[in-house]
Amino acid sequence: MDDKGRIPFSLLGVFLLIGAIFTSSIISNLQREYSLKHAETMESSSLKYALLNFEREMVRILRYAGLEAMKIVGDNPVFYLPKDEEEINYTIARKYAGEENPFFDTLDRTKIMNYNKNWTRDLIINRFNEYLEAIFKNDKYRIGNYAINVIELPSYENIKLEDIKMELNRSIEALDVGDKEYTIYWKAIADGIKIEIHDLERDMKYQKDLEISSLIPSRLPLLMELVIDYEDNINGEFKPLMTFVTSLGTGVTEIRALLQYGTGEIENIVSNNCSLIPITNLGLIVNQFLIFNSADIVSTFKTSSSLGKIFLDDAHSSTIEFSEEDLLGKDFEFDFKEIYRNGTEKLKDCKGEQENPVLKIAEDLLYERNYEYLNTIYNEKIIKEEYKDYEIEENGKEYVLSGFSLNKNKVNSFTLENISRTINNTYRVNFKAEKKVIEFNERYEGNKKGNLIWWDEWEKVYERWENKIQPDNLPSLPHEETVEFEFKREERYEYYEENQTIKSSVIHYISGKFLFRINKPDIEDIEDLFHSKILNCRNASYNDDNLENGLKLFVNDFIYFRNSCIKNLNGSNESFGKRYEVADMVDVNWVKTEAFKELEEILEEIREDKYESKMIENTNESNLPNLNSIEEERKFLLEKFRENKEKYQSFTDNYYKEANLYKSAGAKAISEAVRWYLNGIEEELNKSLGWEKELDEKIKEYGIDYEKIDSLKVDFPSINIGIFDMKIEGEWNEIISIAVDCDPDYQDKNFTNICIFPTGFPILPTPVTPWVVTINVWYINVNGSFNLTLKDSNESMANQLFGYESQVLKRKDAEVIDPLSNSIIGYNKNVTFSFATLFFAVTPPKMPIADLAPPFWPLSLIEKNE
Amino acid sequence: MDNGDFMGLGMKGISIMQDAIIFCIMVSISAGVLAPALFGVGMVKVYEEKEGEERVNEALYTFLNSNTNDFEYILFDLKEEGFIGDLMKKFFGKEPIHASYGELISACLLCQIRCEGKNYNFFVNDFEENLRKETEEFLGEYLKGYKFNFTAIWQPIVGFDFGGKISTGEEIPDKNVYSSRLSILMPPSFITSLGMEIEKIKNEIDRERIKNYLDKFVEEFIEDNLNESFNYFREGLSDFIFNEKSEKFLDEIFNEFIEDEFSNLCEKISESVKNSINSFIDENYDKIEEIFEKIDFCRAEITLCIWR
Repeated sequence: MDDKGRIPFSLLGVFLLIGAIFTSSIISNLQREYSLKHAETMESSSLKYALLNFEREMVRILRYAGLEAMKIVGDNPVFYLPKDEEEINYTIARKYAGEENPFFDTLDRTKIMNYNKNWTRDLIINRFNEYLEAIFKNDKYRIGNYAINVIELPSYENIKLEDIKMELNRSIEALDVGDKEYTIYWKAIADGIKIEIHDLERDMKYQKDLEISSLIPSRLPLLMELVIDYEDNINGEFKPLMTFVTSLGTGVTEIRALLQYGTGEIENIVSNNCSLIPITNLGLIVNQFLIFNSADIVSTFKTSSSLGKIFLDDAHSSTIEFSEEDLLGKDFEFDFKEIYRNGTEKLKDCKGEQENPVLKIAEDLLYERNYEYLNTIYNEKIIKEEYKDYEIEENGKEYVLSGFSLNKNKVNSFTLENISRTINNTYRVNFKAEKKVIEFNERYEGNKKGNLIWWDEWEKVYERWENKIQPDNLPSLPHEETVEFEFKREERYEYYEENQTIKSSVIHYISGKFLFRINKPDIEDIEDLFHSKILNCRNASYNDDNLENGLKLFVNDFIYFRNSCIKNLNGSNESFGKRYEVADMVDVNWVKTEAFKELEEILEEIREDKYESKMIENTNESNLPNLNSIEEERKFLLEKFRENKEKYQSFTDNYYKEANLYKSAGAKAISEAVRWYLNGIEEELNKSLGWEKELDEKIKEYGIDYEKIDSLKVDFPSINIGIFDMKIEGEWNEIISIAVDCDPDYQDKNFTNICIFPTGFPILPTPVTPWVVTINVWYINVNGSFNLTLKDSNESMANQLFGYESQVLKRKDAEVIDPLSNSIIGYNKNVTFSFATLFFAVTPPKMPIADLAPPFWPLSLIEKNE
Repeated sequence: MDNGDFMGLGMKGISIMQDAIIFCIMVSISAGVLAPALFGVGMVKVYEEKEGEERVNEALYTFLNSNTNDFEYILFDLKEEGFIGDLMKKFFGKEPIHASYGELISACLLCQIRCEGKNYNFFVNDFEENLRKETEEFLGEYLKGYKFNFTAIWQPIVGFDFGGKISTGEEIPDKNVYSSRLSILMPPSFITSLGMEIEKIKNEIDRERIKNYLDKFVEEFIEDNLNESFNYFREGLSDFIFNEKSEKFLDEIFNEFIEDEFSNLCEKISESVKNSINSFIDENYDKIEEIFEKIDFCRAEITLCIWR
């Protein structure tokens, strides 16, 4: 044991205790310090959340102010700001437009969007500041020990609306309406806000600048852009509405015209109530559907109902009756082929026989026609023997061509002329005679010197003829005869020699052999040519000279020629020809008569053949006649006529030919007349159309290029109208569906249709001769407006009763009063629709093909719904 | 001391024994002194408190400012399946997209007509129900490990039984509860606008004039707001779906099933609220200035309590 250095355990215990107390106090101090710090942390955490919650509250206020503003704007937006209108507060208008000349119309997208956006900004800032004044003043807003006040409010310049652009993906694309980028939302950004944080416990204040931003969850910008797109689509030429109505309207008009032609059940081909208004309403709905993927259900239903009478006669009423049963079970599917099918199926019930256009042309070539002109106001007809124009004026009254009639007592002089010409051609013959020198000898007896100064007549030494023809003989052709001869005569000559004239007498001998020939005219197809014969025509027999007289005449002339050759003896070959016309030879009036009768026989043959237009037969929902069908129709008829042409010619030839030769010249003349006649018909059918010019001139006054209209095509087989979702894709994706309401639901005002040809316009081959088709054209002018309300599927606005309500955009005729200044800052406008177009109808030949009983007949041919 | 004994005790063994005993006592005392510092419950409590406070604040903030893009409800609680359901949803469904829970809560409070603990607005039962479910789902997920109670109350006049309330979660225990409370702005409406105007009568002390003003307010609220909203809805519906002849058909349905009931309801509410206001003013006229201080039409109180 170490007695000296020993430390008792108790002492160690004391030290341990002291150490423990010391340590404990340090730890306790540390914990206290930590606790104090924690209290401070809690306090700062509380301040952090106070500030965060305050900021979020500000954001909510900004959104609420934005939604309130957009509700006001949506209820009555500015879509029209005219120039120099006393009532408008242009000071504010300039502020919102951001320019000195703040004028715009309903389709000026950029200006409209900018103007309404700036107005919204002003409304937001005003409301936002009202909230801030009411809530964040005088330490009213408290969180824990802190109060937050707004001490500096933002101004108009401090708030901005940023466009949030996204792609709108539609479920259907047609008529050039498809996916497109739009401004979907506005994002509000507010700066210039100064806040004061009041530490209530320490009564200390801190200041902070604040900038907040928030998406305003209203899709008003999209609704505004869509309504502009819609209005743009339904206004003007070659816009989707006009394209649609023109395309469908021409089809419907064509079917109605064929129904008028075929069944006579349709009085007015274009009827505002039955066709134009339903089609236009359908066009409006289709455009609505394409733009909004939604359409006014009642409009759709009414239009759907009205389409039921599209192929009925004019009902003189626009009232559409329907029952609840209809409403509940209705399927709004528009199948355009089905619409056409309803009409084209009625064509099967065509009652009357169709006109034969080839027969008309054939008739027209035989007989003269009378032209009927009608005064549509007094329903007065006049007959003209010749065509002057489609419209004529007489005694101060205007008449339009209304039809034709044949005058069978008056033969077509043109045809008669051509028959005569054919006869003349047939009864024309060219003969030719010639002298050929086979042998020719000369000799002189005596001194033949100097110049011949005198000669005597030829004196025949001998002359031996072979086959010599006598006057009035009828030789068979070719005819040849020869002569061997010798002739002599006395001749005297003189010459100068040594200044003396010396004369001498000589006997001149000529001997030789000549061949005289009458050639056979180049006519090979007539039997027994140059021999008259009896020709049995269909109803009578005639003695046909058959050019005999011609030959007789030529034989006499040949003898003269022959004699003259003998008289003027020379060693050269000579010839002589002569043409004999019918007038020189014989009277063949009977041929003219028989030829015309033969043409009448051919006419009957044509009548028996079916030349019915293929238009009705070929018409179905996929194939409706149009202006191009005129050519097709012509080609069809031409082709069919060509198939039959030979048959008609054979009809005559079989009668007037034997062993492939015409029985006589008269027979040939008749056959040739038939050939001319058939060629004439073919030529008429083969003529290129000359009607465009006339049509063009007529339509020009309406200022529409019909060729462009004719080329419009819409491939639109079927469409299901409903309310469909559209996708919005961009920074994020969402969907939208839009409810559409129109007032009135059914547009039936300001529709005008003018039948340009009050009786139809016969065309082909030319506008005035018998025609292959009748066309008519209607000038359509549509000009209307309606209230339009769009309702977004997003329910962004709080509602006291239903929790939320939708953003609505209303288009109506109204002044827009700014609630801040209580002054007019522009106008809201109804959505307008307007376009002008043409409807065409092509039918087989018949007149009139037109509006036969327009509602205001006979005072006006113009049908207007006002 | 010669023997080297300490404290006069010569026996070493005894001395050692005493030492050891005293030493042990000293160690025990030291341990007693150090123990509270080393194993301090206070610190744990502090940590828990901090976490609880942070959690509740964060949860409430996150909840109120989170957006829900698939929230929807249907008016009249018309829940049907299939095609009819789709049709009903199309025309009676409401789908506020880009709305935060805070906005949904305030909108739900706004459209309630809550008196005597019951919501009389039968149009929006589904709204309240769906929002309650969504809130419960959100907070349940967010506050895993905690129990919670969420209550939002809009009582334009404190102490007066009229306004809106939505509450979800368990009953709040007496202790160890962390809570976060804040007030949020009510959405724009007739009543919010009125709240902003209420300052104007704060200096008004004539009892009858106050009564008249408040009576007028109740009538206007019923007429201009509820009836107007109802008519707007009906017209909108008939305009957008049916009209003319069919409108009559629809009108009959409305008259027979909804409009009469709604009119009676409005009348009943109007009378009841006016009577309550008048008796309230009569009873509390002496404290009217104090009451005015308690009027807040624009703000709703939201409280979130959590505990383990």
